[in-house]
Amino acid sequence: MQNKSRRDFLLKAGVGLGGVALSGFLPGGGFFFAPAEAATVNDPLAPKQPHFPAKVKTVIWLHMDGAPSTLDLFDYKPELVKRAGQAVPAEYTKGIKTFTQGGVGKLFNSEKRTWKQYGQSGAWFSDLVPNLAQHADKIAFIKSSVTIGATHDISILKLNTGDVNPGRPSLGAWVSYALGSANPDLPSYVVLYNDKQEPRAGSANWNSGFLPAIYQGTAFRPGDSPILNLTAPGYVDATEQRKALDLLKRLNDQHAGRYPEDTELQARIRSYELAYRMQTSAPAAVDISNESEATREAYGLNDEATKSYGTVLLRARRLAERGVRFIQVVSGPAVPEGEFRNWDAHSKLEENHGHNTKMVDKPIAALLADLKERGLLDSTLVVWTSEFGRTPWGESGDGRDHNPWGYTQWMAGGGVKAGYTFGATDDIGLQSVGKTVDTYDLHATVLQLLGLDHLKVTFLNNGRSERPTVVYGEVIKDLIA
Amino acid sequence: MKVHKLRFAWLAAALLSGGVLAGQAVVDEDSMQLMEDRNKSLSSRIALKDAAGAKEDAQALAEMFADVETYFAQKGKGDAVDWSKQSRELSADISRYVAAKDFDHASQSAVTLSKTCKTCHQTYKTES
Repeated sequence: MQNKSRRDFLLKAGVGLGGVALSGFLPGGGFFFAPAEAATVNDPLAPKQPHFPAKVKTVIWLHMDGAPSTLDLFDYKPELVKRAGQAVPAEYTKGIKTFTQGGVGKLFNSEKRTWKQYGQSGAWFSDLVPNLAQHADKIAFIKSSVTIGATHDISILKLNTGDVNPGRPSLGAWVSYALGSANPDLPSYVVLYNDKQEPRAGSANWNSGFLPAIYQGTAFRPGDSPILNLTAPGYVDATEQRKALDLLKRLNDQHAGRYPEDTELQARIRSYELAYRMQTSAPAAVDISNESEATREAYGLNDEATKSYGTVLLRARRLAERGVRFIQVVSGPAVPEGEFRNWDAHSKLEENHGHNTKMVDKPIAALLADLKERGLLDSTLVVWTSEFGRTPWGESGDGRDHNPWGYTQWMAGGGVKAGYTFGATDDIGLQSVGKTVDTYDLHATVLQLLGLDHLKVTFLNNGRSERPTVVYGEVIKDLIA
Repeated sequence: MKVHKLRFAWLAAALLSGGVLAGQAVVDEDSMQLMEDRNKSLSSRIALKDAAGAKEDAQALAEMFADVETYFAQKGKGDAVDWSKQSRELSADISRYVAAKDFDHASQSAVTLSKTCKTCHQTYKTES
């Protein structure tokens, strides 16, 4: 490229913010267009009209990392309770290939589990989610979820991108691409997590794949400084930084004037300014110090068990208020230094899920209540999801193995048929029966609520028109009010 | 998880006695990959409103599904015959839709076609 050396100079000369912050504030890549796309767009994050009136403006995507046993949370199976300790009848395993180490064990049920129906809907909730149960009538359950894969990495990729092969954009990236940004001072797609390290498999689950890199998710770390290297170095004061950026902008604008077709440079100019604005807007968006004591208590910030997850959900609400389109929240360890780093309970399910539900139950309930109270629930879609479920048979005596054949997810918020249950699993909770919901069906439904026809959200990649749902995707109309 | 893909190819076996030529349908991985590629191409061409290209893909798929239908009929797998037939008919529908420039219905039918393929693969993925 003609201006490469000059650009390199400018990058190096962009004291503090330009050279340091910009290169770091989006993990896994820069904030710039891929050259192939640069020539076709002017402002890639400009707000765009949906295909039809949207029911929601924002999605909060709650990924329960490790795969909870929804058989122990929402999918009550009296037959499983009755048959606990018996071998799995052959008719239930027909058509599936099992991978459980040591073979399929006996049907397992925790003797501690109790179940109760809640709300007008009469939805079943277990003793593990007492706070969430209070919101039964806000929730639409999907009890016939299916996916591909038996390993976490593959199925998490499919959960987020709709495909098991790396390289496709995540759902949040598609949303960002299709709708642009509703807040010029913040990324349109933010990833939150309550852990010291990035979630499993990292940015592959929020990347933009073949879409321009500008649409990838921006990971906000826990703590006061959500974006790595965003803060200017201490030796650069605000005036000096502003002057440096102004000079940089003047030079870039002059150069851009000579090369109006160079949209890569235009994007870079914009990203400098966005990074500058985000120095103020991003920390403010996640600063919960001014939240009321009642709110802090509701989200569980006064309890060590719920504090970290409650904090990210409170941040999620603040980002939703500020117009961030897609907020992906990945659950972190329930016991930071302990053995329950996620929901993956191959053994000790009772302890594992005891800790994990303790971590998420109260904060998620608080999020739903808070969104409702602020009038935001009608314009926000909350999706509770995981890479797969867990088997009705036991593993290691007191755990459960992975189950991609039938598990529960749920949605709440704008446009959702609240209090409704779609689909079911068989009598022991192993396989979905009737109409199933695969990841791309869930994606198609989420896009529909955002006012987007998944068949018409397309991007030309290597001569082929690609879409979020690959070659699949069916909107589950029964879930939509 | 490795999903075993099917492929269809006719192996012509000459039966010398009486000079009769009989066809034995065979399904294997490569030609099912070919069908998958055609299917992706079809979705893309419908999205791009490339009526001629989409029609070409749909017609090719219809022929492939007719062969798959024959294969499963020979094996006596009634459910797979039904899925193959349904896929062949969907492919024919798509040909008609794109000829009429009705790309919305063509898109919907292409999704149904993909799901039908997947349904069949879930049962027959381990067949060789």
